[in-house]
Amino acid sequence: MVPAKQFEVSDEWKKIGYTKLVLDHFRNPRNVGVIENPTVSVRVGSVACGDMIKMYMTIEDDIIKDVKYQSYGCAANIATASITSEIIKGKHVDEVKNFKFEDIVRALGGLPRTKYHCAVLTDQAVKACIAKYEVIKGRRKLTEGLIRILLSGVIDPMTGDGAMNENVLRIVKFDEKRRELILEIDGSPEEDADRDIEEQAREALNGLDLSIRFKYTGRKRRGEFKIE
Amino acid sequence: MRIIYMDNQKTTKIDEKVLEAMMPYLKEKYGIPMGEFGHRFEEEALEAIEVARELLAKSINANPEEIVFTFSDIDSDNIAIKGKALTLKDRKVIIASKIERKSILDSLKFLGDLGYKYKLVEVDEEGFIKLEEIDHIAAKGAGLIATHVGNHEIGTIQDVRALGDISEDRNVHLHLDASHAFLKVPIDVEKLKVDTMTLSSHLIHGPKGISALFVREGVKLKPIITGGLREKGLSPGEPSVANIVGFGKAVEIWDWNDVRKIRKLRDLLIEKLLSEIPETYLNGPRGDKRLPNNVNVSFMKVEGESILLQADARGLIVSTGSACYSQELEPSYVIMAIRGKYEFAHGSIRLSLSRYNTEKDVLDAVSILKEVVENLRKISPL
Repeated sequence: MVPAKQFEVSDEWKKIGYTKLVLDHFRNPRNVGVIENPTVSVRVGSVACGDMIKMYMTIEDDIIKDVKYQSYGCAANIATASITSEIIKGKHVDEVKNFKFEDIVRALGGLPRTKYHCAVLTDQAVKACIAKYEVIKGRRKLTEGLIRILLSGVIDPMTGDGAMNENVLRIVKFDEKRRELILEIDGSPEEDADRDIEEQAREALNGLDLSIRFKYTGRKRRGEFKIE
Repeated sequence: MRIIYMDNQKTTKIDEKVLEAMMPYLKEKYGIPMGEFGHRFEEEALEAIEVARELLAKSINANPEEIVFTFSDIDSDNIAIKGKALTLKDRKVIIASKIERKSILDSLKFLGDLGYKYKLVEVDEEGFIKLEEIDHIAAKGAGLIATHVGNHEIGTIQDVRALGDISEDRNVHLHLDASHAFLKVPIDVEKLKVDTMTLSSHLIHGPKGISALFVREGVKLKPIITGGLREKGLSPGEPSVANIVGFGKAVEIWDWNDVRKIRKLRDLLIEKLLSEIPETYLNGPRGDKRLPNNVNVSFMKVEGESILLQADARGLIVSTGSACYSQELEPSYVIMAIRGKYEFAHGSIRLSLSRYNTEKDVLDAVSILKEVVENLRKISPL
């Protein structure tokens, strides 16, 4: 267990575009830590893009009995995970399924526009946990569509956007019967950023009893400043 | 709460004596100069500006005629780089490094759109520009080298003497952004073969809204801002006389003993951060090749914006190269250039000192950062 020690900070806190509630959750994150034997766990985001959440849930009889998370990221990353854990704890999984990232923003009394992606990331973590739970329970077939959803939290470190959205990460083939999946990354295994996409994808699909193979196109995507 | 300000490479506190010198020019002496003579208000303003110009010139061993006042360090870089580029008839190639300030990089992008070619050379793992690459490109024909003396983020002091030699040997204009090095590193333009150089006021306890550009005698720049003849026609806006007076005063009262004191504090800060906080790495070199007021470290497994805000809550003011804190949401390209790893950039914190910092500040800063980093590591999944 990671101790969820409260941060001791001065009351002379000044606002810098974050609401008081955001700062409060940032200073005193609720439910932070690890669940040792969770029903499901996911990782969304990555070190490369600077925002990452691991979320753990214990679900009994479709009720989210416990939720914990760890966060590597900015104040908004910590605050969105914290308030979300409060909102969903004790709720039925069906209720949480309709949860939207806007609900997180609203619950926090707003977020700076540049920080909306933190709420999106947290929302993806919750959705991925519930989807995995349903697969494990046999209520939901592991389809290509579902794999797509589970992979939607994989972030392209080069842009900070979803790797699936950008078509940098692609599903080449999924054999439902054999539970075999082939994924392609439009990049090179020599690039840190591209290997990071592979690692994120593996983590997104863990616990689902899948055999996954990765292919790389070998394209070098780097080079913001073109050197002529 | 006690505030420990360690963001002196963002901007510095104005010195009381500087403010005092400026006040008359914000109140009763509100004129601005015209030409070489004028009515009493104009002459009063002219005299004040020329006194400041002499003080600046003296500080780098230049002639007063070689100092042009501009409105910001970014303006100075733009006026020099674009102004020089526009005079180039051939050799429209500009050389810079990957770790320049945006005022240089964005000027190059701008010129790139106009058909100029630019090359950004690599730096080594301490941020030293690969001079042989510059020389190689310059030898093939380039019109301008635009780089810096001391790095804004990691404090690396470039080998400007060697850059000057390359510029002379290859007959290429050399522009140096010395905004972070001015009065931190001795600069003598009689020895240093530089053509244009940016000098900052707000980083030496002078006012903001004022900067200077050294333009060596005989160097021709095409004005990029037009509208009059003031400041050689290069920066013709209505001058803020008060700011210029303040800039001059900041230079006049500068004490190099303070620099020695700051350097000692810097080394203590580096040593304490590295020894007391595990998995902490220094970005940039040590010793005399580092700006005396710059410390930049990366804390692994934690993210810079969170560190910055937690430190701020405890009264410690720093800066970070994290993507989350930047307006563009991009990690520091300087740290990326020397480290090549995102975690170093996202977890990087710059602590920049001034003469107002004390040993107690340094020790307190270390204990605040130690606590903050430990707390954030506890909730980190890494």
